[in-house]
Amino acid sequence: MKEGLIAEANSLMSDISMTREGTNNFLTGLKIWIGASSHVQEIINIAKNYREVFEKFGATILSIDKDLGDIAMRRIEDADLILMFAATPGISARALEILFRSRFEKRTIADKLYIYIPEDYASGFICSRFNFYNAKIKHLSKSCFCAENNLLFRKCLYDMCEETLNKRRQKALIESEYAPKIGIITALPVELRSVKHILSNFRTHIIREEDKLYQEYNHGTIESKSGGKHKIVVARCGKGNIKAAIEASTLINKYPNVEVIFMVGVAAGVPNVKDARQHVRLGDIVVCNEYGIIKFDMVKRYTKKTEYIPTPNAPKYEWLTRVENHIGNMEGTPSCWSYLDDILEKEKIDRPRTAPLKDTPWFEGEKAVRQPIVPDHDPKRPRIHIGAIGSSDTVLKSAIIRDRLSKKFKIKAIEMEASGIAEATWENGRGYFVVRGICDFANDDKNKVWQPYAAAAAAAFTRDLIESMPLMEESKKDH
Amino acid sequence: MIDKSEIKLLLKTLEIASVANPASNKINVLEFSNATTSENNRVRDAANRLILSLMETNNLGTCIHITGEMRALTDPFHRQVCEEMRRRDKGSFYVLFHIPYKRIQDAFSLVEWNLSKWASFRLRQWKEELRTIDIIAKRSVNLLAYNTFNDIQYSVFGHKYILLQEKHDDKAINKRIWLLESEAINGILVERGRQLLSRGRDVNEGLFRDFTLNLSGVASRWCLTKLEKKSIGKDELFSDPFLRDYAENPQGSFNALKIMGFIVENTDGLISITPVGRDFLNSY
Repeated sequence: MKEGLIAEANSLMSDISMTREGTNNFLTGLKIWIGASSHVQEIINIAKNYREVFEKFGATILSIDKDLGDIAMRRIEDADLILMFAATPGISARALEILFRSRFEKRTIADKLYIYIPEDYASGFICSRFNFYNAKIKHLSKSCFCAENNLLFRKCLYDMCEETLNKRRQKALIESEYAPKIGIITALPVELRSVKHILSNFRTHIIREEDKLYQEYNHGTIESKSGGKHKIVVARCGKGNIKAAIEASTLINKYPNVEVIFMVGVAAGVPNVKDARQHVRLGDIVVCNEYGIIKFDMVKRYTKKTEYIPTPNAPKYEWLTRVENHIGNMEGTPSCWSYLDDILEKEKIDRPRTAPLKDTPWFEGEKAVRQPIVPDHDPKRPRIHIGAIGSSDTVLKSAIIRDRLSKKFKIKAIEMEASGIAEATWENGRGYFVVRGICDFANDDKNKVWQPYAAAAAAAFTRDLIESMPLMEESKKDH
Repeated sequence: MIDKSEIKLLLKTLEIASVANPASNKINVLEFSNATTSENNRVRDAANRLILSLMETNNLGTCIHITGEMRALTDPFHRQVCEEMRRRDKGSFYVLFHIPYKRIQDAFSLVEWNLSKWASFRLRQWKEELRTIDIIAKRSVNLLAYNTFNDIQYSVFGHKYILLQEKHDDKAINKRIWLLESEAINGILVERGRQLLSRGRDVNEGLFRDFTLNLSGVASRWCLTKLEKKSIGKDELFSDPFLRDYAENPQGSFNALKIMGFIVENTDGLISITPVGRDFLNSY
């Protein structure tokens, strides 16, 4: 008999499978409970066969305790579909109790409950109560409730296919709601606040599942100048490379469409008072170059020497090319300055005037050295530098070490998260890119005065850069 | 900081919302928005965050939306908040909205009314519409219908919070909004809300689920797949042997597809799939 049911199911599902999949796992993901008499042999056989066939096509069959206690009700609620064969008084009574409790305990069970009942009972008291609770009732002739008649099976199967398709549609809709291709990670709240301002259609997605970490993602879009909108997700990881690597991996796992992760925030700059063009000032922006992130705390430490052994991964090629061209083509008043002004206004940030002075290059003996000025550049506007960026889990407050690292690796900035991002994206087959606003010089005088401005500058340039990147053709269709 | 004229407007709005002598109550204005989209979004965002934090401390209190067209549910963040409340068994928002009573008995008429109202303030976006329908279908909110409406719209939650909108035309896209903190005013507006709810009629949210089943189910896909190849007459579509043998309510699927704008029927009775209908068909 089961073979007959399988043939029936194959026939219906191959008809439906003008939809894309084959029939074999058509019901995958569907959780069902079948309520049937455990005393009437004919019904026992029907339910057993149906369970086996539905399982064969991928459905998960739930087993529920007869006593409809709280745990049983929760399990029933977990089902996508509840099929009850109300051909016996016991099951009819259970169906009624489920409907009653569903209504008064404000559960959704009644919406998923399908009651198959002989049509002879249509005018009876039980049916009138089913109707009262808005139950979905399917009347069939009494002869359908026997193993030889496939009509009941066909009805159940059809209802399951309906539910499967609806569930699949809902899942696709949820996935498309949050399908970002670009991730941005920040470390500090001040960085996150600035990044939020560069997004349109901003909204927050908070996930707090039982036994899982609390996750808060901020979604939004940045319009591409070539048409379409880049879908962005922003997360904050906290300080340090380990936290950054965990956040990057979690984000990729949660949003598998993410192709690149930007690290956007503040960093220490490496000054160069002897060469104005190489000099990184407070408030300037440093983006990574092809050497990527130098993890300078990856070392071999001998008794008398320390050997640096970082193995940097290059940032995502297309973003590297784009940023070089973008900076090369910047003329007059780039749009990122207006974005910067916008963030500064919204966050009520003023460009600080103070600069830390306790640093080796700033003094020759007792005499302070003036910062070099680049001709034809408004000194109140950030300059944009491309270069290697040093990263470690150490808060560096030593100009001597900074200058040593600069000499060895030609780094332009030093920070604490990008190598974690670089490792995590590399391991997950994704790309990364780093944009940092300079807020100190990693010297003894390091403080937080420039942090808000530097965070705003990094966010503004990130927006400008992302806007300049065209979308892939298929991404344009998403909007 | 809000200026004197705005405070005056706030007090006037509270008076219209049946708060007698509002100035006598201590009111803390947490957020204020002028009638612009971005400002409105900012204040709503703050309210949603507040509700989420109240959920953490089990302090949601009585949650009521007194609305005109249930637009609050078209906000993705608010949908997420409502879904989270349901998922964590924290109760649900009562949503009183305006709809003629004759429309609440039938899934298609009910959804059609809401879609027409949501579409009046922005271009139709089927994905957003369907996400909103889905959240109601999951009973993440408790709907009540009110067939005449000319009241101040507000939301109350967390024992002392109020999201208040200035009196506005139903078609107004943006309006001044205040996020207020006041136990006394919350108490008055909760009571006022309960009175309004008691006059409303319960809406079976399960009807929204019926709509989605009709829209996404077997018969609907069958119809769309046929129409993807060519436009055909309604009789020819319905006389299809597959629909005849299996589908219990092909007319329901037809109605749902039409209401969502996935198919159109021309004056000669010829039915065609629309571009958004193709989008929908290929989405799952």
